[in-house]
Amino acid sequence: MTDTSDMGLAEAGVPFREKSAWVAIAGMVVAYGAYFIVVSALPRAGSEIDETLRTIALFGIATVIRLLILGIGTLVIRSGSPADARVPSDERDRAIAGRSAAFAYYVLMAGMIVVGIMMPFNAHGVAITNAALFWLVAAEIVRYGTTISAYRRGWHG
Amino acid sequence: MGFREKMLWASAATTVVIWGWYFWGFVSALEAPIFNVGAELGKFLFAVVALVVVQVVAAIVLALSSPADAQAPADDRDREFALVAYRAAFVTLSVLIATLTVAAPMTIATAPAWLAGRSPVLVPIVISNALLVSLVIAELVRSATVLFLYRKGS
Repeated sequence: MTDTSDMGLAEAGVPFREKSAWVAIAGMVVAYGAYFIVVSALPRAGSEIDETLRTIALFGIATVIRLLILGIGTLVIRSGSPADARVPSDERDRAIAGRSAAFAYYVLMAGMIVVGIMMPFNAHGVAITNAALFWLVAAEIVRYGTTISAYRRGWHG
Repeated sequence: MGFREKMLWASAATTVVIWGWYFWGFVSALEAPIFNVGAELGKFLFAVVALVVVQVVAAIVLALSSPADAQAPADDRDREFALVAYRAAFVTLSVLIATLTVAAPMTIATAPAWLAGRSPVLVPIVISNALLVSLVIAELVRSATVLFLYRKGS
């Protein structure tokens, strides 16, 4: 079994998959962090349609920024450790990915229960949409955070 | 068939039947001229309680029928299958919610057309039910993935 973490440590100090997770977290935090700050600071639009169109436009911009950070970041870390990037995932990588997804899944489930059951009684449509997006981002951050933690702590499943 | 696999079949079957009944009724209620929020809320609460009761009863019956198997801790294979299934369920739920974050604003923007004079309270109720459908589908994907792996691996 190939130990990718050891290869990564030898080549660039940190495993490629851990660096990928850092890039993914950075993309989420920067793009959607800015999105939520802007959305919460803006006053409500004149009509529901204006509010909806503005939400879609801001969400689109945030998504493009996230993809740019992800794409550029991945290119940078790939060029820094090309051999590590080409190594296929081993059992430990798959176990870490599964464990991270399990934690993130529960976060997302809990968030959706709050959003889907409690919010309809005290929030308008765009607020519900933004809350769903917030929990999606939170779950992704938990997923990548768990991945980073597992590599740093040397978790072996 | 092991205890865990039987439990998964029971869980998937009750999920399909009970949530299927609820969402079928919800769509029918949407098509009706008047939408009764109280009645639909009642059906939702009934579905949640029924799901819990049926699954608890199924777990008790299955545990009594094979007590040794029910008490056995999860082995490496069980844990591996569970982790694979979580990944599939998480990806499914994420994709469905990401789709909803785009579709929901469209639903809100076009609400005056499809509401046809009914209460605007329907808009968040429809969105929240779409979220619930996503949760149910993700759980079914999780159960189906583990069941597939058990079948494939047995």
